[in-house]
Amino acid sequence: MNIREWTLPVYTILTQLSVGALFVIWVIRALNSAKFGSEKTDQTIKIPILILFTTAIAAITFAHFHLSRPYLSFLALRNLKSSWLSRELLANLIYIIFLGLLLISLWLVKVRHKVNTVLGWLAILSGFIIDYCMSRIYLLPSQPAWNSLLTPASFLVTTFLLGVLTVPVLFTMDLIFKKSQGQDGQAIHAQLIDQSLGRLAVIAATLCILMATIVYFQIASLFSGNAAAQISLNLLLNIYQPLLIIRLALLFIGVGWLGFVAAKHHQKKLAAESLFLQVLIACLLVMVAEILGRFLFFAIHVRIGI
Amino acid sequence: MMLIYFFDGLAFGGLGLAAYLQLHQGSDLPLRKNLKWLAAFGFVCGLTSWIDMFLVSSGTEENLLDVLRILGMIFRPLTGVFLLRFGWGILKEIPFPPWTIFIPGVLIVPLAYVITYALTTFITPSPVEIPIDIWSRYLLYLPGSIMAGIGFMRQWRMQRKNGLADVANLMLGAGLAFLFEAFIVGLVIPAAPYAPGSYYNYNRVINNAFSGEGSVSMFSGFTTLLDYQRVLEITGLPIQFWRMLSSFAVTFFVVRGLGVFEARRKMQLISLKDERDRAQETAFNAQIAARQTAERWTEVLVTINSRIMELNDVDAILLFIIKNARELLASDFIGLALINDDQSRLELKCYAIKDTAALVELPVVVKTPLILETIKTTRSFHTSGDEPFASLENAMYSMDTPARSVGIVCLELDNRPIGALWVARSAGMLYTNTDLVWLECMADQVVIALQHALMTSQLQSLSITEERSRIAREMHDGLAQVLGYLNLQVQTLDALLKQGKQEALAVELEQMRKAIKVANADVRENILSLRTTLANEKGLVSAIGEYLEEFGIQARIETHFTNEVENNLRLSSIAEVQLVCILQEALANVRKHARANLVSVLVTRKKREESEYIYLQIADNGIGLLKYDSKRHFGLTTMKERASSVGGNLDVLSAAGKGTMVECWLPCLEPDRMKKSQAIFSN
Repeated sequence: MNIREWTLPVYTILTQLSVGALFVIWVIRALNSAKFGSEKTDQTIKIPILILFTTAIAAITFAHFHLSRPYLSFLALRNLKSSWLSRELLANLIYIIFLGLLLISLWLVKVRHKVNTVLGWLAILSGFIIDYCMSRIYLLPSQPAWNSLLTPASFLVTTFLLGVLTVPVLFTMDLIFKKSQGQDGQAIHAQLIDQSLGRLAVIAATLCILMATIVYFQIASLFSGNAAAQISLNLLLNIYQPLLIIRLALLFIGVGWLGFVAAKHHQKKLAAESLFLQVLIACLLVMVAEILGRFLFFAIHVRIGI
Repeated sequence: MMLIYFFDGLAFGGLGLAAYLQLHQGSDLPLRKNLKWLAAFGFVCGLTSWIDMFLVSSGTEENLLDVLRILGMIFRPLTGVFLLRFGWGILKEIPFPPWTIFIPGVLIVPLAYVITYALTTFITPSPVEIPIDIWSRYLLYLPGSIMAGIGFMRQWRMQRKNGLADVANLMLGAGLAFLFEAFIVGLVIPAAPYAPGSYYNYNRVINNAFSGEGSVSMFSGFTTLLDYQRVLEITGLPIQFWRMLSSFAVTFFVVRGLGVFEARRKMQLISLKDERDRAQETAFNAQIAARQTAERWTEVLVTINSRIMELNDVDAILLFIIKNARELLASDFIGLALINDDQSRLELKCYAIKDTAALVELPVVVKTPLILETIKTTRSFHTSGDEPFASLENAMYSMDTPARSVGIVCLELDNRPIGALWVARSAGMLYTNTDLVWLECMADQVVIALQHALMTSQLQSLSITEERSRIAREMHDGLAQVLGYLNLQVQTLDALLKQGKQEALAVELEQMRKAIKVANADVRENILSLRTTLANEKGLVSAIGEYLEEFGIQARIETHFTNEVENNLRLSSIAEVQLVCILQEALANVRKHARANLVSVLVTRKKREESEYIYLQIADNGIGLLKYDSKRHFGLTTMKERASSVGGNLDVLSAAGKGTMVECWLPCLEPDRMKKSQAIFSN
C-alpha cells in the first residue's frame, strides 16, 4: 500500500476513535450526572470533547490527501441517492456540526443540560451512521475480502475498542492539567476515572475477544470463498502473516495491560493521575494493532475481474 | 566522498570527545547529566560515518564490506537511540508549561501511524539495510534531533535569564544546528518507497499520468527535496556534503556551547563572593543592631535601678518599666498583673499601649489561660503561632484587636509567684527566646522595685515604733517620775496642812517647785529633740550646731562645738539619724547626771584601717561615772546599739570627778554612693 492509500486508515481510524470515545464519554456522563451534578460532570468532559472534535477535523483533513483534487471534495455530496461515499461525507459533516455545537455549548454558551445531552446523542448517532456508511462503501461484490457483514462488524468493534482505550487517556491527561492549574472539579474527575477504569478494562477485554473472533470468521470466510478470496487469504497468511500476528499480539497485550493497570489501581488505590503513562501505553498498543488491522483490510483485497 | 565521510566522522568524534571530557567537570547544570548520551552519540555517529567511508572506498575487501555493512546496520539505529535519549534528557530538564501534558496524548496518533507504517515496510521485498537506514532516521534521528534542537533552544532562554548572553547565543546556534540536522539527516532519505520521502515520486507519477508530462505537481514544495537525487539536482552537491556541513555546525556550536560549564563556574564564584560579602555585611549590621539594642536595654535598666535606689514612687517606677519594655520589645501591649492579697485572683496592676502607660483604677481580673498557666508553671513562655485563639483571649486589655503572639514571664518573690508581666502583638513576628530573656530582666526589675517599696515601708514603720519607744522611755524616766513624786508631795502637803505645819509645808512646796522645774526642763529638751529634724536645709552639721546652742540655753550648760569637716559628712541617711540620736542621748545624760557646767562636742573625719569614719566626741566636766552599770545606764547601751546598727561603734570614757567622754565612730560612704544616699535623705 502506497503512501496515498495510507490516508484511508488515517481517516477511518481517527473518525472511529472520535465516535467511539464520544460514545464512551457520553455513557459515563449519563451514569454520573445525577451523582455529581450535571454542571460539574459537564466540566470534566470539556477538554476531552475539544480533543475529539480536533481529531474528527484532523481525520477529514487527512482524508483529502487521498484525493487527486482535494479542493473538489465537496462534489462528493452530489450523489447522495446512489453513493455511500456521499452519505458518509454528509454524515461526517453532520457529526462535526453536532460536535461543534456541543463544544460551543460546553465552552462558550451555557445551555441547559438536556440540550447538551441531546446534542451529544445526535453526534453519536451521526457517528454511527458514518461507521455504517463507511463499511457499506466496502461491501462490494467485486471485493470478496470486504464483501461481508464482518466489515461493518469489525468497524463497529474498532470504534468501541478505540473509544474504550482512549477515554482513560483523555481523562487522566485532563486531570493532570487541572491539577497543575489548580482548577475545580479534580475530585470528581479522579472519581470518574476510579469508577470507570475497571469497567472499561472488562469491556475492552470483551471487545478484544470479539475482534479476534471476527478475524477468525474473516479467515474462514475467505477460506471458503472464490478464487479472489483465496488470493486474499494467501496474501494474509503468507506475506502479511507476520503483521497479522503482530496485530493480534498487540491487541491482546494492550488490552491485557489495561486490565493489569486497572486491577493494580483497584488494589493499591493509586492516584488517578499516576495512571497516565500506563493507559497511554495501552492505548498506543491497541491503536497500532487497529491501524495494522486496517492496513491488512486494505492490503489483502483482490478485485474480481478487471 | 571519502573525504566527506572522513570529516563527518571526525566532527562527530570530536563532539563525542569534547562531551566526554566535559563529563568529568563538576557542574549543577542540567545539561551535564545528559552529556554521557551526547558523548555516546558523537562516538557512535563518528564511527558510522567512517564505516560509510570504507563502504564507498573501492579498495575494501568484500568480506570486510559485509562486516562493515552489518556494523553500519547496528550503529545507525544505535546512533539514533543515543541522540533520542540525549534529546529527551535535555528537553525535559527545564520544566514544561502545563499545557504540554496534552502533547503525548496528541502525539500518540502520529506515533501509532509511524510505528505501523514502519512495521509494514519490513514486509516490502527490499534489502533490510534500507528500511533500517530509513526508519532509524525517521523514528530515532528525526525526533532525537528535534528534541535536542528544542532542548538547546530552551537552554538558550535559560542561560539568557542567567546572564550568560555569550553562551546563550551558542546554545541557540546548537539548537538551530540540531534542527538543521533533523531535516538533513532525519528527513532526507535514500530513494525508496517510504513516506514521506517517497511521496514526491509517487505524486509525480500520478500527476503525470493525469495531467501529462511537464505539468507542475500540486504537491510540489519541500517534499521534492526529500530524497538524495533531488538534493543533488537542486544544490549540485550530494546530501553527504550537506550532512558534513550540518555535523560541523552541530559540533562547533555544541563544543563552544559546552563553555557554559566554565562560565557557570565563574558566575558561581562571583555569586559566592557576593553572597559572602552580603553575609558579612548582614552579620556586621546585625552586630551593630544587637549592640544598639543591648545599649538601649542597659540604659533603661540603669535608669530603672537608679529610680529604685532613689526610692521613687513605686507606681511611677512600674509605669516607667512597662512603658520602656513595650517600646524595646516592639509590642502593641504590655501588662503587669499581681496576685491579690488572699491569693484568689490575678489583678491587672498597670498596662501600656501606644502613647499610654496607665495604672488600673478599678480591679480588672486577668483570666487569659496562657498567662495563668505561666504563673502556675513559673516558666517563661512565648507563643509559637499554633496556639488556639481562646488561649490568648483578652491578653490585650483595652484593645479591640486580638493578640496573635504573646511573651509571658512570671514574677517571683522569694520563690513564690506574685504575678505576671507579658507583652503582646496583634500582628507581625512571633516573640523569640531572646525577647523572653529581656522581658525576664524587666520582670526582675519589677520585683526589685516592689521589694524596695515593701522594705522602705517596713523601715518607716520600724523608725516610728523606735521613736515612740524613746519618747515613752523619756516620759517614763522624766515626766512620769516627777508626776509620781508630785502626787506623793501633794499627799504630804495635805497632811502638813491639816496638821498646820507651815514651815514644813513651805519646804515641801520648794521641793515640789524644783521637781516641776526639772520636769519642765525634760519636756523642753524632748520638744527640742523632736523638733530637731534632719530635713534642715543647712545640713546636718548646722542642725547639730543649732541644737547644741539651744541645749546650752535650756540646760544652762556652756557648750562648745568644734566642726572639723565640711558640711557633707558622707554618712548614710540611717547613720545620720543614729548620729543625731546618739548626740541627743549623750547631752541628755550630761544634763541629768553629770552635774557639769561645760560640754564640748567635736565632729571630725578620721581614718581607721583604710576606711574613713566620722568621729563624734561629747565630753563634759562633770562628776563622771563611778561604776558602769548597764541596767542603770540604759541610755549608754542604746547608744552603743545605735552605733553598731550602722557599722560603727561607741566607747564611753569616764573617771570619778574628771567628767565623761563619749566617742562614736560611724563609717563614711564611698563618694559615688553618697549622691544616692543624699537623695534618700532628701526624700
